[in-house]
Amino acid sequence: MMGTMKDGRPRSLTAIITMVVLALLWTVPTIGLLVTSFRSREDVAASGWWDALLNPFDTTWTLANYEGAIANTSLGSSLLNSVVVAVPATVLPIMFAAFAAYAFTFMKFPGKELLFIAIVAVMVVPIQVAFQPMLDLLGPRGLGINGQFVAVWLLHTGFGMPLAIFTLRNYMATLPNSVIESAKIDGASHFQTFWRLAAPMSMPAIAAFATLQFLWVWNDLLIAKLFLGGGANTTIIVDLQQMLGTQGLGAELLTAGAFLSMVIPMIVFFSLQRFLVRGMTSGAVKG
Amino acid sequence: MRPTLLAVFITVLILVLKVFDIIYVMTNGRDNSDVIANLFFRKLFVEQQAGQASAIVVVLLLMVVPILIFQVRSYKAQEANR
Repeated sequence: MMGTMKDGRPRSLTAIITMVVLALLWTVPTIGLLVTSFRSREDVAASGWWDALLNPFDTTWTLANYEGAIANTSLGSSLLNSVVVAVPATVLPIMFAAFAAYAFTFMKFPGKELLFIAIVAVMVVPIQVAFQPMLDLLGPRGLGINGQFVAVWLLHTGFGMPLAIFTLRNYMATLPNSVIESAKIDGASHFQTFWRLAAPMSMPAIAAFATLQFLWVWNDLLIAKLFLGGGANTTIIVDLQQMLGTQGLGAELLTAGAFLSMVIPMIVFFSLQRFLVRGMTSGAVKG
Repeated sequence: MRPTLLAVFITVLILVLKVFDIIYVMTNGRDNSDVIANLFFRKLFVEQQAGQASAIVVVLLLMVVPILIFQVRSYKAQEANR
């Protein structure tokens, strides 16, 4: 087992053990959630989830929570709402940010430095500063789109963009300038250079940021609660949070629902992760 | 290593400064666990005090200003070395 890594350094037993222990520690709440979601309400009230793990044959495992969560709650439609919120809220900021990052890296225009410094500055401004004015602006006194998906798309796009522009621009700055220049000499317009060269070559950075942005948007509670509310357009995170408060619905359904809400982000993460690794290795070959 | 550590540190710091969901769901500010975002939400919706809510966020904005200045400075230093 003890050998050397690809780069010739010796493997460290301490590092391996530390990593495994940390990974297990980080997974403990998720395991607890998974175990609890298969136990009945009475069992959960009577003993901790670890009891079920320690005596797996004495416990009555049940699928009733999942059946209840699917049949008796609005989780199905709110899961769909979450997808409707998260996909445009990931694609829009990345698309605009990629355009902007290209302009900041490869084009010359007046005020470029000042604009980029402004972007670096607003990157650290928390989103809360925009809520009160935006609620007014999007609410019935302003545009009247509060409670519709487009309001949430706007907010996530606006506040996702600074970090997206910054990350993508930093990545594009490492692309070989000669490739872009030779495209220019061959008569390619900026439009062609962007779609044929800059965007495909930036795929690792785009995939990495898309993963992060999707997870942030999916797990967001505050924006969804403020701008979509608890009505027909509610996302799954808000729906779960409301289940926590209502006594009649049953806390046992919450665990099953929470686990169901993790499925889609996991699919996104694992599919994009594979893509991300491939992008990185192909980037390494270029030298 | 240092620029990467700083970038991650600042990003996580900002994420934690505006934390809302955990506090709102777990304690809703009981037992001295209130944070700015939760207080803001309560003022704005439960107490319907839009002005006070805005004032709370201005405090948050003031807390962020030093980080903002630092961020711009380190960006400028980085660009000078490029």
